[in-house]
Amino acid sequence: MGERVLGRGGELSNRVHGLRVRLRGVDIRPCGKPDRRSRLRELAPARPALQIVWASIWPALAGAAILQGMGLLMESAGSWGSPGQFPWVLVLAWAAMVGFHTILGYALGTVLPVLAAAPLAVLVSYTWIGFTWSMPYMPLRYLSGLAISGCCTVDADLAPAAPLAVLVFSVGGALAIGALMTVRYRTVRRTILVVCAAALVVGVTTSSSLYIAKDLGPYPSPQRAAAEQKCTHAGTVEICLFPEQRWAPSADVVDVVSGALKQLRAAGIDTPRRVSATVLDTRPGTIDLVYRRDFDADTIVHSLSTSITPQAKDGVSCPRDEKDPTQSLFVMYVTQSALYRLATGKPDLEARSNPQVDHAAARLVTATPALRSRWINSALRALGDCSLPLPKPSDIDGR
Amino acid sequence: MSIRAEQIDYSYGRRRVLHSLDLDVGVGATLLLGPNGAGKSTLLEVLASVRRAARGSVTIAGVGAPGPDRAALQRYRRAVAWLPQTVTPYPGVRVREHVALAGWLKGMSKAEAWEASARALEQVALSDKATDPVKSLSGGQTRRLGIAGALVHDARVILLDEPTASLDPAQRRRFRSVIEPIAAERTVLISSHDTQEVAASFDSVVVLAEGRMRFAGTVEAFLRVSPSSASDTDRIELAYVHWAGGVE
Repeated sequence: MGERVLGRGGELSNRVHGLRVRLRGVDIRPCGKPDRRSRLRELAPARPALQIVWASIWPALAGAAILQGMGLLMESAGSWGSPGQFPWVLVLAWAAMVGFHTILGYALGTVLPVLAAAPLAVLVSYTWIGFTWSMPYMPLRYLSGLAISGCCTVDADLAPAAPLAVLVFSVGGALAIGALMTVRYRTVRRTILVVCAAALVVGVTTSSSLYIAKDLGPYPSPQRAAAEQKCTHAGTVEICLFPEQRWAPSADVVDVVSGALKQLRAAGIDTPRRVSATVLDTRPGTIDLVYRRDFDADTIVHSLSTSITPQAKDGVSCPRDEKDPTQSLFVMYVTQSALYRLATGKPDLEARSNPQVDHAAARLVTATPALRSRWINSALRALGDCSLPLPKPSDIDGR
Repeated sequence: MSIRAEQIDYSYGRRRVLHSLDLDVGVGATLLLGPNGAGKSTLLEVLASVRRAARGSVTIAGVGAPGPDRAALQRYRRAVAWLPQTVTPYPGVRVREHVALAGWLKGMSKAEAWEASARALEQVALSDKATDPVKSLSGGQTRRLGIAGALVHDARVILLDEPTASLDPAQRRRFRSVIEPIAAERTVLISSHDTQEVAASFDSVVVLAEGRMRFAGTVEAFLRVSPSSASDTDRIELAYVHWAGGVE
């Protein structure tokens, strides 16, 4: 749901964690004498405690909200105006997380001096987040909301259970802390009752959240069905994209993809019959294109050339690579870079970091058309089939 | 406008500090005297609704008791001004802000509280410190700051726990001059263990010892037990020893 709707929900969630601001607790520590109540109580205020607390924390809360809001706006800027529903569930999960950490910081501020409470609040919050991340038990990660980070791409949905898990846990935790904060104003009997009730709330909400998240795995983002795509015939190629991808602010993806494939065909390269935005589209002759709406035309072509080129892996993945494990990777990079050059007529800037690849791709593009198409087509086939021999880099020069 | 306590019992754990205490304080300035540990502060805290008595009731005529619900408690607290024995300034605020905040806490709007804070600071001669940080005040100035905070919302009942404890003689005189006109139309109860405070313009005296009421009446009635031939200072001390039972 995240990127599908907001464009970049996953990154947005990351930023939310990064930008989370802890509130400075209001200093209402008890006075020196053990039998004194808190300073606030000694004032015998005529206003409700909630009103006083709100008046104390609203500036910090407003500051945090502005900061978080700016983060949200910046991260979602690329998706403004895109179709789809607003991700209220993500916003609710975000608010619940912020609320939980806020009340945690506030509670610490009521029992510790500000100078100790503020850093301790940050430490406790990040320790909790780090703890859930370090544990191999996946459902635990959903309690801190961390697993939502980076969850969402345009070809995947956010499982509703993921934000729901963090929502339930955060609300329960906030209620329990809030109840414990009232303990000092109560009798021993009521204190025991409140502590038991808080423990019960934490227990119930934690186990509920773990139950909700039990089947989510490491990423709460099931792939979207290929049937949700809309397909367009552009010449000999069929381009299938999710509706949200068609609202393109910087480049018309269908035109760019069909134009690039046309160039490649003209250069004698075997091109796919269908370009799809999801790996679930397994029809023969289909490649899956990684595409985000903020891609410009060059980035789209780079992504297309990467999608056309079967991906070699580091190390030995085919018996033929045993003598030289780097050969497959080199052929892959040269092929991808050459495809980009052929489609755009300019060098692939990303290949500049590897001069050998860049140089080989440049020679390949300027080789005779027959040699060029033979080398690239044989590389495309061999990279996808271990039984076929890889073309040799030395063949590029026709030696 | 009077404040009345009936059959008040209060204990700290097993230590009982107030014993079935009855008190009725009307308009005017009343001095609450008693030795250390007599229960003066506890009684004032019960009257201010900071502490809840284990038994007994507290009421303000025309306002009611600080319960049973929150609305009644808030109504009661709006009618009461309360200066605790120890004034702890809020960190990071300035003098006038501190007094205005005290007014706001008592239910005044922010604008009213801000307006009234200037008047309250004037009463305690702290106007020239209005923009200073509260941390920069001396002990006596902090005490006056607390008094300004207690007076800011024009309460009907004013409870001050040893307000002159760290004030110099000039400041004490000024304090009395502030309290006198207020006491003409409000109920003011001021605790002290300084017997010579009686010599100041108080209408009545209450003597508390070991959590029990030993005397409640006019200043004349308080002094009646001491020989009129003695000096004022001696008369007060003799009367106090008489009523407090020789405890000090």
